Amino acid sequence: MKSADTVSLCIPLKAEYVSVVRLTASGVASRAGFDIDSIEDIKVALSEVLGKIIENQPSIDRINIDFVLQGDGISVNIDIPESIPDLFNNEEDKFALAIIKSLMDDMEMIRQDHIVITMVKKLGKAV
Amino acid sequence: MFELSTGINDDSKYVIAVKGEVDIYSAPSFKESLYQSICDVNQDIVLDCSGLTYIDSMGLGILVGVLKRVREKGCNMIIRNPRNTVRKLFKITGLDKAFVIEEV
Repeated sequence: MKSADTVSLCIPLKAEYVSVVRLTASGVASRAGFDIDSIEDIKVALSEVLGKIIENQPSIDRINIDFVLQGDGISVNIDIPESIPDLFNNEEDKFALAIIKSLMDDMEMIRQDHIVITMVKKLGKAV
Repeated sequence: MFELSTGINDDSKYVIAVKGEVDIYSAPSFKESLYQSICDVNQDIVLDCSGLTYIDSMGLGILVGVLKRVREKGCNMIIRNPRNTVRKLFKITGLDKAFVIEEV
């Protein structure tokens, strides 16, 4: 069985690189076959998560983002090298969480020795 | 980045046009510029969003802050001509109920 194509991006955890991630997400999602509206959904959701990570954990230098192209959509995995507090715990964060949950089909945060946030968007599911 | 142009009076409303992207990087200067633009304004404000290509939750939070200030003066704030992607975020967050959103 052929493995899923994965595009990886390692960025400094700084606000000025979030636009670079959006640009990459746009290219990869287009490659995966998403329409313009769905590509915007992915870009917005990804930016929201990165924004919250930057707000909560500015001591992390770099994070890794994997875009996994599955047959029926895309999985975006954000690997954070150390533990961080809850990203969506104050009133303003509720906007961000509402946006992410509305625009993506699935989102989960797995806490181990490091943290992986996974968001999934299926093809043909623009909001 | 973003660009603000202000001071255009339109039917007794104060029009502020925003172009470009408002995200975590540009939000602090967006907030400063916008607050500066409205501080002496005592009339309804129209935020022309036709050139706004991207805004995130931080940007929306700034707009809520501006709305509060404008309402404290007994005025209102109107979001004009947002693109579909921006309008979608207002709807998802329920802010379409707080702001007047108009298409002209």
